[in-house]
Amino acid sequence: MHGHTPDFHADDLITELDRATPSDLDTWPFGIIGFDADDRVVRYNAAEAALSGLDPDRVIGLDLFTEVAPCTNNEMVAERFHTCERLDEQLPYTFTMRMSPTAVELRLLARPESPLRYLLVHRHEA
Amino acid sequence: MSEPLAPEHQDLLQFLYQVPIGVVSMDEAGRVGQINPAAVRMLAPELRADESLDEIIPFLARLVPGLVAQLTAEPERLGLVDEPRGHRVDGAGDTRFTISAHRLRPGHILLSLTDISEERRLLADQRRRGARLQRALLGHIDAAPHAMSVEYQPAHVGDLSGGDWYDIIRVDERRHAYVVGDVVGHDIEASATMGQLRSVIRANATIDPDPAVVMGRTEAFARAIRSARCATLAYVLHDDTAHKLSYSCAGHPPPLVLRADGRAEFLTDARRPPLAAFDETNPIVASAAFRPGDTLVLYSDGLVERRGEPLDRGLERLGEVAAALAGTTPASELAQRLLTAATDDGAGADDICVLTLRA
Repeated sequence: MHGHTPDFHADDLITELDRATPSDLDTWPFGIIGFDADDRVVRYNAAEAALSGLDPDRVIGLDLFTEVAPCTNNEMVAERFHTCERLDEQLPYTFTMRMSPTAVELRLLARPESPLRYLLVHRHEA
Repeated sequence: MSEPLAPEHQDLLQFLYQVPIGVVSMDEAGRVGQINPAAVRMLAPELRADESLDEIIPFLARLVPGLVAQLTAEPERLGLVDEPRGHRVDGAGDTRFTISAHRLRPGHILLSLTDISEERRLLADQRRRGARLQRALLGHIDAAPHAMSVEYQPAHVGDLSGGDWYDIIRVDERRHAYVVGDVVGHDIEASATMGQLRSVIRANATIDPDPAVVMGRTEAFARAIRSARCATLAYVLHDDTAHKLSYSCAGHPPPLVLRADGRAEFLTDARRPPLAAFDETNPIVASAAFRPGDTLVLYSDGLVERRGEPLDRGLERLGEVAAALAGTTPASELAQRLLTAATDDGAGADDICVLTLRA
């Protein structure tokens, strides 16, 4: 992965995500939340921590949709993950980074072959 | 990367991220200063493509026009701008939430959003339980000897916990009792009361079906259980061999008999107050002939009552409609046709129950 900047819109991004270590993910330029089959957060990269203001060790192990990103606990995001085994969707959203409404692009990634599912957060440049 | 925040600061952020009540701060123009995740969770699914959560007055004006009207009508009004319960939003799917507004000072408004989806699910659960209870209580109606049709339409679609009920009791091979009743209320308590009254009437009718006796014993029971007070009841005993109806009516609209020659006759000679409405009530019974070709109609007040209209007008209308239909309508369809005719002008806000029996 040296010298390669992952692209938020890349087709096979989920394969790269699966191969990356947590330290690798800390170098990626967009927010990455990886979570398991029980919705527990397993990956929370530096970019996401900078956006939310929370240290990763505060959120690892918590339920993504009820404890970490409750703004996504609706049919637009959470329910997509709960109803689709294979998922690759992008949608505009509003995150509440430190309570400021922040326009972001979300990417929802899931597939049966991967142990984790991913919620990616790309902040639109001001 | 920015400096990590102090632990207390992170505690505070995490607390605010997890609060289940949505909070939004905005100015009079709807520019959003701060918004928490719960608010986004509820509002995001309602946004149209051209709307955003940055400047939300146009969005709010579409979602809760009453609230925006109040905000803009009195821009100096401080404190709670609306009723405490706020404006309800029926969101996508099963989501329901309320929005209310609080003005701290001119230019600084706080919105709070409360998710009441759970409340709505519990209410739906309760209605289903009520409907199950009612079905259980109204189960096993005896078969009547002649052509019969029965229709029941609850006030709220899908909600069977109405106050109306009916029964058909086989006394012996030549006599059947027909009952229509109305209990005060529309909930589980009403269903339970209705079930009890039905049992009492049925138990007594099989021993001595005389209307005076049944009515007297039912009234004694109604005095004992408060929830049956002011219940109304029409009880008609049909004797097939004697071609006769004997009846008693406690506060209930009068049964209707349509004669074979097309005349409509209300049975009004045995009227007495609703059950347990007064301390002493004399039993009162009357009878009427009931010959082959005649049709008996028992019904609840929802069939004849219209807001702002005297009951007599409703009875007159029923008589006219029934007389017109009875000649040409098979007995098995008559109840449904009467019900449709009554609700056609969208007047129903009540349960409606109709029983028809053709000799």
